[in-house]
Amino acid sequence: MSAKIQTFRLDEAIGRKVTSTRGHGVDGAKSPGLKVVQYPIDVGIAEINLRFGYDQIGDGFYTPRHHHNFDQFRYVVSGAMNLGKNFDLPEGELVYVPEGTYYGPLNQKGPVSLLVIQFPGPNAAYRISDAEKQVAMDALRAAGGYFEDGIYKIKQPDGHSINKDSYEAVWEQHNGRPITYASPRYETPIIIRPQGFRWMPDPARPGVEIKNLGAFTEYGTSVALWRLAPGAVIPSEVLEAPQLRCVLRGSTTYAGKEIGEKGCYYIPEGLRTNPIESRQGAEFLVYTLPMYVRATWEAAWEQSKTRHQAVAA
Amino acid sequence: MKIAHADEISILNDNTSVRTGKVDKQFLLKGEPGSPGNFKFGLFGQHDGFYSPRHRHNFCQFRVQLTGICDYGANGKMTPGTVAFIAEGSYYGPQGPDVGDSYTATLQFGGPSGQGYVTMEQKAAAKAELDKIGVFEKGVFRRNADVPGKRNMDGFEALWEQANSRELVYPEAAYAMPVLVHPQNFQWKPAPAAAGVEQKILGTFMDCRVPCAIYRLGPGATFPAKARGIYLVLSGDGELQGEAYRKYSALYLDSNETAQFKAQQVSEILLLGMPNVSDIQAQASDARVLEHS
Repeated sequence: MSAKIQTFRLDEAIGRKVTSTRGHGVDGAKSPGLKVVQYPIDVGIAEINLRFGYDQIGDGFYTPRHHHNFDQFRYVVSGAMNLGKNFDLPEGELVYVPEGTYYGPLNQKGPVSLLVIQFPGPNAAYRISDAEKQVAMDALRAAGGYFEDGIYKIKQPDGHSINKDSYEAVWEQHNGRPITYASPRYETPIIIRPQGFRWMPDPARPGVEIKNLGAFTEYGTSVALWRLAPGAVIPSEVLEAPQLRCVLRGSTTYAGKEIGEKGCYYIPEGLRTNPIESRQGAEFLVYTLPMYVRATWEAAWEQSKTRHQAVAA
Repeated sequence: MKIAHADEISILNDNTSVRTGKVDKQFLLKGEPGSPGNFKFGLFGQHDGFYSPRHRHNFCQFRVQLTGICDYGANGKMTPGTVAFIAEGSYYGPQGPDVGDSYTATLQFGGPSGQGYVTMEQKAAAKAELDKIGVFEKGVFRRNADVPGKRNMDGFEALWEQANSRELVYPEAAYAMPVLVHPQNFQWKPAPAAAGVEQKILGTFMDCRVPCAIYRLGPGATFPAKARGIYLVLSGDGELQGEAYRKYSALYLDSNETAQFKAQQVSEILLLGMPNVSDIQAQASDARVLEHS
């Protein structure tokens, strides 16, 4: 399977069918108002389940302090996202949460909308799909347990109770083995404030300015903002590493298709793109994923399998 | 290009510190005073009871924990091996009071805002003046009641304003808090175009892409250094531009310079990058408000 260049408008994103295991109350019943749509990106590698979506989160949504076995970035489109006690990210800021690094608890105050990307990180742990998640959740409920306040709770036949982070429980149910986490590369989530960066002209692309916001991990996963002046064109090019580009403001045109606000591009390495044009100007949020170059990923995946076998032994 | 070896440099007790607790310092490398790319690099000891209030600076820093522990409160603890990047304008701490002795390698340098870095000599002169009109207590400068001006100021801020005769206006922080990196949790990867050399890229920060990485050289391997910054030998020995390098030898490389480390024994070399001065001075299209004129 090989990936293609993919473009999506917001109206081509798909509503998530699986319910969240987070939120206050049983099945998050006391935290209504979570609406997620996801862009059906296919990175062309079976083991990589990259999730990029537009999340609208209502007041009162709750997630306990936890960590993941994947990487993620969250960009605040509107509102303010709670990231811990007395700590909110305002509109226009973003946070990188590396695999293994703890964050939260999150107590959302007021509505917030986010662009969220989640993807296997340097340890190449498998990230389960929504369909797999649903099957695992059904099995966990059938076993007599339930999800409450972001925790899976079940009473054992011997009378003692098990409380486990909900994502952890679902992952273990699907994979049939205990989850393992990367030892954190970074102590805390990295909160990026784009207003503290300068727009720098892109010497290779007239009319394009860039804010390099940072690159992280041994693979150099990076995030940037690009600003296209009205009439600017990103010429046809071949990328060395996959990129996900999301339009934050303005509008662009690709091969005759208009990609406006919250529309996105997924561009694998090695394929020649068409020019990207912007008559009115645009601003992109750009993630570069060198780890997903096929040969790089295959080596990382093999290492990951070796680690799992070592743990199992 | 400059090279220094810690075992050839004496340890000084610092009398210009505005924080609480004993500090000793080995100054290894310094930049060009007055330049936006000015910097200071050294090995610093902080001893039992060191305390620094929550504060920020108008320059960037890398801190590398060599021994002991530094506690930055909500920002986390620096344990041996931890590398911290603190962007100009980012608040951090409070630090301590630390227990026991702590040694760090610290690089302080002018960041993208172009505000540069005040020299030790400037700070010493400023502190001598401020000592006449107030006292430094727990990292805070408290001005005497009969002297006009702010009663209480962060100690560094007071020194900077005294040295520059103007108000310090901090740059917008690029990152909300220090980035604490744990290199032991990164995987070694082959370094491109350098046989026998592996690397851990720890991060690239700020709009001018300041790099931080560790390189591991096998015996006989050669590592071509080429990015602007400080290269600190963490372990091993070999040859650097005709000199013998060993633990805590340090190289400063300017933009467009290159140098070669040739390892005799397995060596680990830490790169603490700094922005190219041309990038600091680049005409950004909406440059942030930097300083009062």
